[in-house]
Amino acid sequence: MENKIIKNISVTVLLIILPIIIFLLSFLIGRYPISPQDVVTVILSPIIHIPNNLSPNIYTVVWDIRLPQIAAAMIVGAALSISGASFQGVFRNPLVSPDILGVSAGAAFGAALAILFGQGSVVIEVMAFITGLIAVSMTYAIGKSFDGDRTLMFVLGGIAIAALFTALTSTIKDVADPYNKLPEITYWLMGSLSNVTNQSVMMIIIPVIIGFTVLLMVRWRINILSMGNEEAQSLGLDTEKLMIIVILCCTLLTSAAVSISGIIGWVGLIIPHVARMIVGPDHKKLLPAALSLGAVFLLVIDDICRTANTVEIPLGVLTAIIGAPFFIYLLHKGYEGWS
Amino acid sequence: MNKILEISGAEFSYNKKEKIFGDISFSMEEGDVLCILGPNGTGKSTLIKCINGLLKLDKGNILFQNHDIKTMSKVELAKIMGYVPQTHRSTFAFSVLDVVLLGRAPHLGLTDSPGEKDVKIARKSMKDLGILHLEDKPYTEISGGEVQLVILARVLTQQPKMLLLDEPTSHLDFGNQIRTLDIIKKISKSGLSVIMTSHYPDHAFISSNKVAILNKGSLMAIGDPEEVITEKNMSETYGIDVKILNVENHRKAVIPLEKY
Repeated sequence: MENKIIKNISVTVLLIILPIIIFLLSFLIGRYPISPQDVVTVILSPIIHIPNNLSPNIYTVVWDIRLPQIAAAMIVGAALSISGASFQGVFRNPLVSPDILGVSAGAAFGAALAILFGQGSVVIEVMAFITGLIAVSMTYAIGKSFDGDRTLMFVLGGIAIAALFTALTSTIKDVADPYNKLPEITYWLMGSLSNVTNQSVMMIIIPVIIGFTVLLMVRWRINILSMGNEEAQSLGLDTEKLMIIVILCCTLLTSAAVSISGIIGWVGLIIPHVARMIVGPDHKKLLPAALSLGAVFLLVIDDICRTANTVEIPLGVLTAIIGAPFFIYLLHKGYEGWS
Repeated sequence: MNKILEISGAEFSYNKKEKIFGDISFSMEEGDVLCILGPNGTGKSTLIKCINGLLKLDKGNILFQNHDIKTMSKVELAKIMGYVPQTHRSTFAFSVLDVVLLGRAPHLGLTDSPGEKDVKIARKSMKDLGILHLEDKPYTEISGGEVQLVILARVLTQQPKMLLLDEPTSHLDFGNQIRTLDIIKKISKSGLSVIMTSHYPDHAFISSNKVAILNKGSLMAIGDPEEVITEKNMSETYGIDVKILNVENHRKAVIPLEKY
């Protein structure tokens, strides 16, 4: 009993402290060498002024290059992971990832369309976000129009909608100029955070805060929904309402994440499983754990991308190259989160 | 005695064409244990789901303490009725305590989660059923008999006035069937009313003070077990010949006869 409490507390502390440490350390990584003291001086400069003779370049690197990329990596990782954990719960399926309802395929189409018409990063982001939402709305409408097992209909509808938007994206790639636009589209689809600016982070901050807050507020109820619709209803749960809330929040989060990072697969699928191995399947603990671990995971992967700066490896590729073996290793260590 | 449940003229169909059952009327008093018997596919489970508000009747009314359940919200219904489905399985390896705690759902708001008081109530119902030692075990790794008790603990944690048990003894071994019936009897003595379905007429003799036979979509008989479970009714319902014997001078048992 005592051991259990100590273990719980140390896990909680670790899940809070780890993201903070990795966050601070990440400022040291990159092409331009900056010492830890200089990083601290620059970060604290808006609050207290420490006398220094640092060049303005250092300020630019810390504030305008590293900060947005670090913040974006953490937000995207956390958003994909908490959405994956929530979706796996409400759909009662371990294979579910945040793009199950077609959000990524929709966003990819929007981004590709914006790139085709030569738009800048702001329009690309907004288009990706909106088409992501449209794709999920279509899936939702399909699921709603059937009686019977709605959960299954949502998943099948999502597969159909994703296939439709992927085909549309392929069409755009087909007609895009192969010397500049096609590479840009392909690069966007592979996922990257190297061009993220403070402005793009600010653009997604509101949907992200709404998504995180609401999901964390209703997270215990996901346990009830995971028992199946009928049992959940007999426990007094308005299953339809909770389903809509969860889908809406996850869609806001995933759409926002994808709009600044491009398609980053795998994180939203495995981090929930990793979190479940650590804190168990109770969504009350699982969602915060997935949030923290997702932020740490994607930031570490992005740091590796930035370190290996001679050949730029797309983030979405590296998450799978590093994530897959790591996940298999964890599975070997024993996994009891699912029956 | 106070009337707790009154059903009048209940009719239901899944597709508005083929009636599952019709013209069902009966009432129950507080503390009654009603056992519904009947062949497979005759609508026992469907009737239970209608009483719990999971399905809506096409015709007729269900009154709980004189309130029409149609006018009640899901949360209100969950506070007065606890439902145990025929099969229950969790996809996730929740701890037993976490599963039992779900019974607090109707008493908590949308953004709340169970607190110390709720854990206390959950632990008490687990203790009453003798499964407190299981609380940290993964729900997916306990035996079928234990699962049944965990779900019973969960509905008790709901603190309802009535339990709806859909075949509570199916999937259980011989001993666990009887132990479950004893628990149901004990629960009813604490003032809860119980409706259960069963495939075993004997179970009605063991645990119930009222029996109903649902056959071909209508109520064939309802009343005291001794009056309803007769050799004639049994052969009409199940299509087999039976002999009803006295056991221990105060309880009866139904024995199927060989066909010659």
